Amino acid sequence: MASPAMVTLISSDDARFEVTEAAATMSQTIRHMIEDGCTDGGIPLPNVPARTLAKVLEYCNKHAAATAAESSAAGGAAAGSDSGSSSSADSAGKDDGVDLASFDKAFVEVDTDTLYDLLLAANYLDVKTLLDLCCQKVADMIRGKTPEQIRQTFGIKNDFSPEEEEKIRKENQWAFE
Amino acid sequence: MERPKKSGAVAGLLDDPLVDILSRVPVKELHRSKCVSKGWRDLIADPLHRRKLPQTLEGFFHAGDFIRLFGGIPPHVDPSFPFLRKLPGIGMIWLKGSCNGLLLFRHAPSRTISYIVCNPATEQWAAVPSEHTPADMHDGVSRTYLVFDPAVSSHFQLVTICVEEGSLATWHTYSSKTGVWRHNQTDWAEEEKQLGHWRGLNPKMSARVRAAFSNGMLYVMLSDDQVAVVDVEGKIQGIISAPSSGGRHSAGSPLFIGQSQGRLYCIFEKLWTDDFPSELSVGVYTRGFDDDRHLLSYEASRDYDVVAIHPDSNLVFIFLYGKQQLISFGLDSKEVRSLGTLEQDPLWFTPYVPCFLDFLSVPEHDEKLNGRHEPSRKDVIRAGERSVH
Repeated sequence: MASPAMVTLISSDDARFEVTEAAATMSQTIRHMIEDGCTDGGIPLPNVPARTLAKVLEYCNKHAAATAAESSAAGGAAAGSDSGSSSSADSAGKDDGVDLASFDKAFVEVDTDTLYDLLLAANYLDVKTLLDLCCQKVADMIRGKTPEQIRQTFGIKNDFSPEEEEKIRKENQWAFE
Repeated sequence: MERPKKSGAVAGLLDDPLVDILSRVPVKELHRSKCVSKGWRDLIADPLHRRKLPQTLEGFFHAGDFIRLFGGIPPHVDPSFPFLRKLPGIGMIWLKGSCNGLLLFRHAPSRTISYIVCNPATEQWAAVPSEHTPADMHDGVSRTYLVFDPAVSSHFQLVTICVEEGSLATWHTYSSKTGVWRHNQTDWAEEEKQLGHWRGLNPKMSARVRAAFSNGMLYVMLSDDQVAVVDVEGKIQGIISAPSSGGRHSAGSPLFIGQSQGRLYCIFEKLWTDDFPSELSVGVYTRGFDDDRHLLSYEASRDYDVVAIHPDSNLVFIFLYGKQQLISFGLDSKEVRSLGTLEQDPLWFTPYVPCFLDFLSVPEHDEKLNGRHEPSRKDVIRAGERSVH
């Protein structure tokens, strides 16, 4: 079997990353660049620093590998359905699903700055599942918090005057019931 | 990656991801977080993001006017509905109800069109054919409910309940999916006996039919302090005992039934015969009616009516007849606030939660949503489909 196609990604601080095309093309932005043939000498990603890109690629490698394992398991199941080997392939696929879910959960257990960098990178690189994962994580962090706690958690400055804040509170009083 | 310094965090995010994040936050918390900063407030209030963010009660249509909630955003809908009135073939219309963003209008002359259902936010509308049945000419007590849940289906249903002799009621149900009316009859007494809930009283619906739609079922209050759970085809699925008559001096009649935050709220009046009418109180019962809270001691005559409950908050809306005043009452905070005076009695008082999704003629919408919802609701819809053919 031929070795998988590799691409080189270049971070904003000029670090180079060799990754499989399968992992890189989880990013729609990179996929389009490859399709347009802009890969000579590596793909520059001027919006993503090395630290964040490494983390994003960790995610993409894991998910691309899981997808590959899943499709080969599915292929094996189809081929071996007469010999009764499909059940073991099924359970292997299921384990991967659980594994991936716990990987995702652990992946976003990071400080807010890192999470924020990941979110921006996932948005710029257009990695839909990673963007979803980050957005859900931030949404979970917002849930159950008062506006003041939200400001503290995310370092947001309160730019309302006390009167303005009181007015907006009054208008949305039902939400404080 | 360029980013604002530490202070940035979520505040410095581009609008798109922040809207994506906020669309995952429950509606109540979403509106609370308007207080975080001006940036957040403007983003949440921006009409551009309405389709993505969960919507909540904006106010009430009443007597050709719109009553806003606590000076919130101005309505984006003209409460006289000019777009409907200028349609060809449309005669007189009367607003009769609402459900998750759609409004129900009775139409006259009703020879061909009996009702009009519209989404005022998108100005989409659909005409409901005349049923040509006794329901159309029914001169007794009847009430029509609009049933629409965009999370389940892009189709809507109408359920007309007519109070008949004794414990009888007739049902006339319309589905926008099939385009036909179906008819059914119910004997409340028989149903109660069969389900083992017979209280020896002759159950019927009150002259002011009170019912609420929740999770695919219509909850109908009966005169013997029980609530019938009825599917949209008019079939009884169960009877829930409301506890108001148990062990109290004298239970008043149920005042209101409605859904809020996924629970069913049933509001009763508890009358103490020895000191009536100096004190009235309202109890609220959530689904299963396990939560019996004494809530409000209202110094008043009986001249009030519970007219609505906030769908996303523990807030009920009460109309005081003497003062013609609309107030809100916090079930937890017990705080009373005035929303102003009304010129007319709130006989038709229509809560409005906007819905910016397309409805009607969006069949893929249903496909996409299939499998995401509790089987009970789907089964109801499927059962309906089957029995039509």
